[in-house]
Amino acid sequence: MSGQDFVVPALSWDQIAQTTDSIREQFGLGAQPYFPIMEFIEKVLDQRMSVVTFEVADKHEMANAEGYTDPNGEFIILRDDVYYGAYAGDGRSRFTAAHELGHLALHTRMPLARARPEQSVPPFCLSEPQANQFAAELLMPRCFMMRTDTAAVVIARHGVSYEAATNRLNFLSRKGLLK
Amino acid sequence: MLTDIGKELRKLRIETDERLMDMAKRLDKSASFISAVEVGKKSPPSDFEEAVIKIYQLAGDAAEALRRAADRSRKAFTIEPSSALGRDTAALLARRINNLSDSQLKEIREILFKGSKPA
Repeated sequence: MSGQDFVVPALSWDQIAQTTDSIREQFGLGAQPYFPIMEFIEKVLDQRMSVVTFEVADKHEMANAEGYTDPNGEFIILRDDVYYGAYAGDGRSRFTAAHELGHLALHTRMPLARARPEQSVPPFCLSEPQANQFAAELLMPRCFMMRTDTAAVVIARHGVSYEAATNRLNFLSRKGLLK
Repeated sequence: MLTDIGKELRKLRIETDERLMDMAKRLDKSASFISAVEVGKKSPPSDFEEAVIKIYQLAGDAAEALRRAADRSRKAFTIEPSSALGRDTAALLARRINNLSDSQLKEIREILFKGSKPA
């Protein structure tokens, strides 16, 4: 579930933040700024809890997609370079892994309607923007984000890319949500 | 869907607290290869389970469970007879094996199993 946008039930960005906060709380990660996304998917959700099968595939098999989440929630696949990158702390790869977890948490076992280009669907009803928001809320929780933060601070504290950090600061600043 | 060998490999990773990439490194394979074997996109190569048994130092029941799981995860078996008679026999087996019923296969297994163990 990446690339192609699907029309899904509306979710406000606040609702998505509540979902990610509750995941962090349930796993005792409420006070932890760096979310261990790969350990969470591979070691916890797959190995310990068997809620999803985690797979790694090469570029050829993935037709260049970085990740894929089964619409029935059976498996999450990451491209091998994304898998290694995420464990090595690469911000962009970590965001991709969190984005796929977003699809698993928000978009499995539900009817998915393909969004046609001529339709004007608001982003809060589309699967890709919702999964991106999930990744941002999970990796950069609101409770840590300060008005004095720079992109460099956010990158170091949360293990994200420059792009994700600046998008996040702009979004929260616009909403007046920086502490 | 995990194959039988996939289940065994995962169990092994939980016991050793390893990630796919750790196991791949120890077995000198890529993470995507191990992952493909686990979900049945690839058949385990013929020397695969013996390499796992050796590197993870499995013995007895654990080694047997892994061999059985590997065989169950295979769709094709390669036999390379070295003589004309061997090739004829292999071809005959290959033609017949899919026409045998489960009860016939079970009977054959029982004959062979008894045969391998002198009373």
